[in-house]
Amino acid sequence: MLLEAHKLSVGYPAQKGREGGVPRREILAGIDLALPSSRFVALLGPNGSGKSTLIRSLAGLQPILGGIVTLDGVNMSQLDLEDRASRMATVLTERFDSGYFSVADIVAFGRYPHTGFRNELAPKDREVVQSSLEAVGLEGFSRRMFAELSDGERQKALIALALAQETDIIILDEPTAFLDAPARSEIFHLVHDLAFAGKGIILSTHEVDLALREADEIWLIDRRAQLIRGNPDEVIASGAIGAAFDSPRLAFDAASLRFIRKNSGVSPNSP
Amino acid sequence: MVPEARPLGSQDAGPPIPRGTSRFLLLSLACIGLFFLDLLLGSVRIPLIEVPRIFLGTASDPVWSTIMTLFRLPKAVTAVATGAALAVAGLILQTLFRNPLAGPDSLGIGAGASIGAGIVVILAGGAGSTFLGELGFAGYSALALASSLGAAVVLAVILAISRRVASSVTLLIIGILVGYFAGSILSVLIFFASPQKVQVFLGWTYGSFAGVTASRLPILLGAAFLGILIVATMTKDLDALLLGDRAAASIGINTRRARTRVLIAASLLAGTVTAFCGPIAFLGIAAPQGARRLFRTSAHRRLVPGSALVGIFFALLADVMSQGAPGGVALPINPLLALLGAPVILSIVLRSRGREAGS
Repeated sequence: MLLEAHKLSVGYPAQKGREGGVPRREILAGIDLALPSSRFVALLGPNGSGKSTLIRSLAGLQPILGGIVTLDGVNMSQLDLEDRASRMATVLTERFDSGYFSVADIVAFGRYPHTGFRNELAPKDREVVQSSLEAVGLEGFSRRMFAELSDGERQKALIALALAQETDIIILDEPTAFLDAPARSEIFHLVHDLAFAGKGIILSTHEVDLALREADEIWLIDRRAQLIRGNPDEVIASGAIGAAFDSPRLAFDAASLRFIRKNSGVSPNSP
Repeated sequence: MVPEARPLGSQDAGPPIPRGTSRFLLLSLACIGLFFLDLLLGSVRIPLIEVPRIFLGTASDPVWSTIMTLFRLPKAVTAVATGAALAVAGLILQTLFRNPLAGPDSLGIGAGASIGAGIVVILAGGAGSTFLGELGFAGYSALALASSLGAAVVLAVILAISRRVASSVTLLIIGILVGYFAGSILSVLIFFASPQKVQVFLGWTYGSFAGVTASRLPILLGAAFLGILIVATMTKDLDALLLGDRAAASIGINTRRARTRVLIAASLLAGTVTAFCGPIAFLGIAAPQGARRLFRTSAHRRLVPGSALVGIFFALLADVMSQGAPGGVALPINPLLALLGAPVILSIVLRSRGREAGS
């Protein structure tokens, strides 16, 4: 297994302070999961269910409250940051001012775990940057300013950055959040292809239909803070999607993979 | 608005020649020219031909030699050290806070140093001095020490808070609040102080490169060198911090360690300079901005020397301009730097608004 978690609990530790400070807040507890290679896992869950907390904890970007996360069988907390970054890449949605960095400059950040402290790029590093750009369909973009890219191109360039890290694992936190419909599909197809080529990928998303169509495995956080795991067909058949997402007016439709109006109640469009 | 990217990963292989190199050389030459102009200008006119003779020990007039070695040379070297130190301090603070308007002042380091100096100048009893120039060596050392201490105390507070506060924006707001806090303490001190002491303190707040004598110069140079050395060893980390703390951590950067180093280097650079020259305004904010635009790069390997050079240029230019007043009176540095720096900062604000509207 590339990545495994046993009895993992995630959330926010207690903070000292006046009036007792902020108590420890456990968002998910007792989670077991495993990510093999060549697997595209989509992490689904309603807003506030703890998707981001779980994904940041798995990426090592926030401390875990309990349990253990292993990378290639090694306890992640015992890996130094560079070692971790050469095994696992993370694509985040947070905006940043890229200044005068070109697309190639940004992708070259992926070589950080592999270069010395002066960050000189060897010819091999430049080749990896170039092939990473090709893998996401941005060949010919290397000299463009990163700041001038469209949202979709920007997200692909950040995936190229993760590819340039040459890791077995890639974690993506809501990579389609700011994208239009064609760009969202493109990102899912790209991630699907990367998993087919051997990567183990965890992607958190709100795109239920795309996730059910493209992913190999679904991790669903339901309303009782339980993590449900299974392949898309199993998860659809179990009714778990509806249990997690349905509202009084909307219900998940397994045939179309969409949320549709419930028949009960008055609909303005009904004849 | 940005014309063209500087290629880094071009498939043509081999590192490309950065576009800013010729500009870097031109600016270096301009700085050397300003340095010698700064040596020539002053209330006593020294002929150009005499300058090399003074340094060879064959000056026609020993008074010229004294003026040059005791006053003008230390002042010009101080301007160079101050320009470089404040520019690099501003650069790394702007990177850490990902805010183009961050600088030594916005972290509260300048305010902390001012409080230390204010306490010495205003509360010190019976020193009998009415002007900064007449402060004895002991008084001057106390001023420098108290100013550095003030900067260090603010640094300690900011460091302690930064352990518990993840967000750089919060840290920036805390720095601004520390600045207000220090400003109000200073106001109270000034309110109760005698007019003579207020004048001494206000003289210090105008900023001056002239207060550093040859014997104290090594302290300033040493601190500036050490601070810039710390920065020079962490250019890779600084580049990564531009992506955001989490993204930097995900590519293997120890962001907490990088942040601590930035805070130590910035307070060393800005605190020492403030102690020796007063709270020099605008340089720390304007110089890194000038460097980014002039050299069209965000890579710290080039921005660190670039910002230092732009800072040296601004400091020398301000010092040269300060000699240009009629009647042989040197103008204070801070108003001149504001005159040079404010248009730069205004253009940053207007430009970033334009970029937001365009995207």
